[in-house]
Amino acid sequence: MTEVIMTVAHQRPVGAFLTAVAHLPEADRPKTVEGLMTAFAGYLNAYFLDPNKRIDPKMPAPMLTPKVAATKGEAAAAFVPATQGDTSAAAIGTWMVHPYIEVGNIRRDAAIDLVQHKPERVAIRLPTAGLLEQAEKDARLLSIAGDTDKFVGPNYYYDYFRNSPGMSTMEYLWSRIADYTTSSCR
Amino acid sequence: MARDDQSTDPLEPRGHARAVLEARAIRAATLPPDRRNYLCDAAQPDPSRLYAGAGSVAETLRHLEPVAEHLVDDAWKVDALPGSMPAGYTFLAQLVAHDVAAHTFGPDETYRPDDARGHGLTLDSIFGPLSSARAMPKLYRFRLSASDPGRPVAVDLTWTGNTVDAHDARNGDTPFLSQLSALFVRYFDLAASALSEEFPEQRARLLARCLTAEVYLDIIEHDLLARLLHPAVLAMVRANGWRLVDLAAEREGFAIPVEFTNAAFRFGHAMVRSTYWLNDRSPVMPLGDLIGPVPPGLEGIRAGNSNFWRVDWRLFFGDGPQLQMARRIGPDLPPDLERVGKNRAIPGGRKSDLALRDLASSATGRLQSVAALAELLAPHLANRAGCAGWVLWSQAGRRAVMADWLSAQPGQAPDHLKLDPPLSLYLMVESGANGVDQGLGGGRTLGALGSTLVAEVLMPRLRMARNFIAAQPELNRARSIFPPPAGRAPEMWTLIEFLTGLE
Repeated sequence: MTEVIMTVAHQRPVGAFLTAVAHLPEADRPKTVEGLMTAFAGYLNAYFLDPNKRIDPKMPAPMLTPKVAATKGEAAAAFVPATQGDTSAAAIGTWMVHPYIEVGNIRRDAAIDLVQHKPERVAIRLPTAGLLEQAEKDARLLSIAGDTDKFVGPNYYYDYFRNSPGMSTMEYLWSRIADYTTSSCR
Repeated sequence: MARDDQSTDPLEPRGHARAVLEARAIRAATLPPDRRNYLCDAAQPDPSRLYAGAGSVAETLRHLEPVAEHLVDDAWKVDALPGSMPAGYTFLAQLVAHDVAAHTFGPDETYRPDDARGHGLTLDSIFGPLSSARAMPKLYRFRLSASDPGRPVAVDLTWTGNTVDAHDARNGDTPFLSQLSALFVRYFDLAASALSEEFPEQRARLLARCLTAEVYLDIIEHDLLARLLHPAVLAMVRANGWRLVDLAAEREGFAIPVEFTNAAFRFGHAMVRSTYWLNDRSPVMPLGDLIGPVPPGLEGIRAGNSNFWRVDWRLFFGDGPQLQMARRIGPDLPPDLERVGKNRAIPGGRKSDLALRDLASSATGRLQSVAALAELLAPHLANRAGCAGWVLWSQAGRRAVMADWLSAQPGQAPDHLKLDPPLSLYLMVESGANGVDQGLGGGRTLGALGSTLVAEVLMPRLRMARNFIAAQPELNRARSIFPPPAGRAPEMWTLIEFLTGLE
């Protein structure tokens, strides 16, 4: 079976959104990928894509309310089935809020687990087998070659540590949150 | 790709461009000397043959605004469908565009009379005119790594601040285009080095330019056009090298039709992806983060890590397992070109700015109408094999194709958009609609009219360049010293493999 692939192209708004999700009571958090994507699209429309309502990138991420989650605008959540025209709930395809985030090779009605550590239960997301195998092989090759050529990190690291004016410490934190909650091993 | 965020023109706010386009369109009343209308030797064609739209520039642009929105709305869903071409061909086509025309005439760009492309397709946008004494571009070379044996050659153009070392600064728009340009510089360097043992420096340099251009011309003709052109047009190109309609075009200095620069060769905007993997050791990156040179302050990181901002051509050409595909050609423009730089909305900007600018360049650039072009071409093509069924030949057929696409647009589209669409819009719709026998592209190739206009401009330019090269004394001797990739198909991937073998 093809492995699930989650790709985040814009860590900053995704991280702000996931920060807001983390602040919600567990019962209020999305239960499906569709719900998560729809809420993210609303969050983008409310806080990132409306030029008249810009967020302050030095302040904590704004709250996710039902009204915010339903905000209409340019961003939209969509499911694109791998087989054109497949409208079934079990269709395999990609959920996305383009071009910020997409989750491929999943069912249209896929559920989602949003987990945090608890005293009685700790959560660790293990890497998927195929990607892990490839990453280990690559890391081995880089090590044998002397570790001079390296994996390349996401842009926000470089933006933050070279004091780019477009990356506040708060935005760096959001980016880190998006990265460590969604990235695959490497 | 124009970049609003770097504009210093006070008339060009980083916002929706309708007012600016309108003002510039009214100023652009006549064609510059290096432009003409297709199949028109006269300075100005009969006004009745030109696109009229709603009758006035202001009203036409107002009607085109929702069309631009429609071109962008939901266009990203196309990303998830398989495209027709590997992603690298988007940038090869962009290089060809820069090589054919130094600028686009219209409300969006400024005419620079000293920078016309006179000779055809000889990589002038990289090296400068063949007659120029410009120093050859210098290369940045990504270090070979033992961790990636057999990886394709990786080189880049060099930069001084924000200025790329190429004749045409547009070749530094993205790392894809600058590194693609650098492949041809690498080929030139190797050829010049081999030839310098037998020829004086200037002669070796000219012959090396010719050998490099020959490879480039082969790739355009046998690789790029084979993927891009409608099958019926491609069959005619292969049968007789396309000597059909605009025979006068094969003349040095003959002006480029505005129908080509302002419409037919803008298809690449639809092919641009929103995100790219540069190589499999880099994260996926949004297009907005991949503009211009390596960001300031990070040059040292690139020097120390050969994976940093290196384009691995296995992800862009060939048929490897990690290949990224371009988006399909059709009436869908990605919003990302304008909208998503550094994760932030452009204040006051709209996602459809680029789409509107493309439409405006077509609508206000004194282009001939689709109906006029069909009338010009029918006597030459309508009875040829594979062409009789083209919807292009009937007003009802063209109207039906346009009406079908416009029917999905919210609100009632004005009739003139169906009867007399801007050429660029018609060509996009023609490319995206299904029906190969009707001259439509199905998202995989240009349609009949788009393919014809492209063949009409590129094939004469190809022949002019080949004739110039063939006339060079000692060319055969040069070919024997530095032969082209032998015994293989003249494709982009062949060049990449060839250069890799010479590392």
